[in-house]
Amino acid sequence: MRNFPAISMIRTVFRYLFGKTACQMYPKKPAVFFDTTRGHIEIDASRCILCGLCAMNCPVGAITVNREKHYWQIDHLGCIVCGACVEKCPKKCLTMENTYTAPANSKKVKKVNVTPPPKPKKPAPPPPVSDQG
Amino acid sequence: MSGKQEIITIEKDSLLEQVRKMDEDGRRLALITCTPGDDFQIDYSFDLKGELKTLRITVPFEEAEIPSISSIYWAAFIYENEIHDLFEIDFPGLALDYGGNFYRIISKPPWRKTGQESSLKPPPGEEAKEEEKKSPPTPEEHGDTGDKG
Amino acid sequence: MGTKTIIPFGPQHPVLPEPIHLDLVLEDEKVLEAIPSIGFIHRGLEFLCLKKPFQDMVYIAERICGICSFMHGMSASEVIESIMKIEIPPRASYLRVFWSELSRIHSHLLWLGLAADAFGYEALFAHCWRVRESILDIIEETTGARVIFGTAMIGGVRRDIDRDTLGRIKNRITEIEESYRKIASVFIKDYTTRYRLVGVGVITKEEAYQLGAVGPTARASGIGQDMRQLGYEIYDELDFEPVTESDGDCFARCMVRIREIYGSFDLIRQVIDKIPPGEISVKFKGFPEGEHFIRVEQPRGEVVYYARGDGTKFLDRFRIRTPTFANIPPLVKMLAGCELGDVPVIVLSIDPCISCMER
Repeated sequence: MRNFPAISMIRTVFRYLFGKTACQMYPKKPAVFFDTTRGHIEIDASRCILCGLCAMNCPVGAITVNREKHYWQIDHLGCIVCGACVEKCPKKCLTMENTYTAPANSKKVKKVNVTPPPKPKKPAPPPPVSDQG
Repeated sequence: MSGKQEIITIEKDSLLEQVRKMDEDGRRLALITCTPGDDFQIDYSFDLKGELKTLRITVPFEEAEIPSISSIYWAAFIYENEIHDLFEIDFPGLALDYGGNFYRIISKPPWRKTGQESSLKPPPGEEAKEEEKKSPPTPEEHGDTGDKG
Repeated sequence: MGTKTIIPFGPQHPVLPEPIHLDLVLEDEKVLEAIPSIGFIHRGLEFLCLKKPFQDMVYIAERICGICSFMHGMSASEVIESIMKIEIPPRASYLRVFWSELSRIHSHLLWLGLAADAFGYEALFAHCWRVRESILDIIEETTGARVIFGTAMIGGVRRDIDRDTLGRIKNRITEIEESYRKIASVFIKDYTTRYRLVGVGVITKEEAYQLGAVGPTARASGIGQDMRQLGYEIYDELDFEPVTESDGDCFARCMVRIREIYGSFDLIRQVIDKIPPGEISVKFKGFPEGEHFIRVEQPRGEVVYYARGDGTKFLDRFRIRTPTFANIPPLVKMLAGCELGDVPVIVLSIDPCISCMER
């Protein structure tokens, strides 16, 4: 009866000495992220129509949309990666990538120039009805 | 969905005897809330087996003074000290009175003025200190701030 | 008659995860009384309800605390949904309960690690957090982030989980429970653990009730009160029992949390079996007008949310009373009469989440 604690202790020692460790050799073995991980926001500028819904719904104001000068701008370090802009974009041009924002040593914003969508052609006005007879 | 709730509005003078009745029923003190508006509205909430009963009193800004209930419920001292520090209401008879030092914060909390007019700016003396601490992020090119005000 | 000294138990202390200050009045190694003072991490988050639209209060509430983050977001959504009388679909309720129970497991495992570290078992601390990593992997796979879930929303939840993922999670939960069982047995059976925890920081049932103790602090003294019995979300369709002990000392508080983890594993299995198909959110219009109290069982106890709206975009008042705030008077009572060396263990045994307490 007195040997049982000793046997379980020896078993524990062998398990942790020769078994697989729980730690990983990071950064030699790079980190694996899931598909659903919220990392940072990217834009596909060819589909953007500069509507500004992403900027209106951003809870921290990290996105700026300028219609006169045709650009879309995001402050990656201020973004809280909540995903509200991705949900509200009507053209689905914003995507959530699964890698985190790289560390930086100054607060720069990322500016993307967007060609504005072509204005829809107005149909020609109907010819005036001539008053005859 | 969240259990039975009831809010009863009472006068400030009958506060202590109503609280004593709650204690005799066997209720425990759940929380004390203070809502600023046109005047202060203080809610004392008591709970018994999942049922929440709230006593509501109204206190004007000028004479912000309420008798303390910490003689009946000793646990009320933290709630009343917090309200004293954030909203500047006096509680004569407080069991463990910190005299304004419960919350160790430097600038005055902005709650004292009514809701829509108060601002988050610190009082004039500390404004110089705040300016040098903050440095807003500089964009690469200056542009409009967009739709968010 | 010894001499009285006053020692500050700092904002900085190796055992405290967050800063709280206690002035201990000592007489030769015995604590006569303890005087708390707070405010080191006060961010004024309640005041932001006057500056930000009411939908943003969910984001703000999530960021009050890192450990109980999802339940704050869920309670903030619930209080606005009760004011505006929004009914959420049943699948959203089941998903909220799923994430709440995962949140409770990871919070209790974090606490077990800190408690082991408080009396010197650093290897046990690492083992507890290793088991917690498997839970965080499940959370990251289903919500996208490890700590701030970001899935609670007014009107439901923002993300769905498909059936294959739920099946895989159910198998993984069984494996995690097995590895957790080995760790829990060290807390229960080890001689040194019992020596440090049994009989330390005793509070009786009457004192705990009169001082307003909540959560495991109250349940360890015999008060069988668990806010999940109110039946909010979908808890009235799941069966569980609140876990109580009767001794009222630190060991009883530790046992309550260990047994609650087993209960949460069981609840997660029930949720995965019973979840119905359907929508995950509803749209709503308008602004909140009225007031309501909401009570939710967080890992540390009962949290009370109160909100009042007057029909505009900004709320009038958004009040949060967190469980650690209600557990401070019992802590002051427990510390009177204990030894100086037991103070860190007693302070940690109420599970202080100071950043929740001073939003």
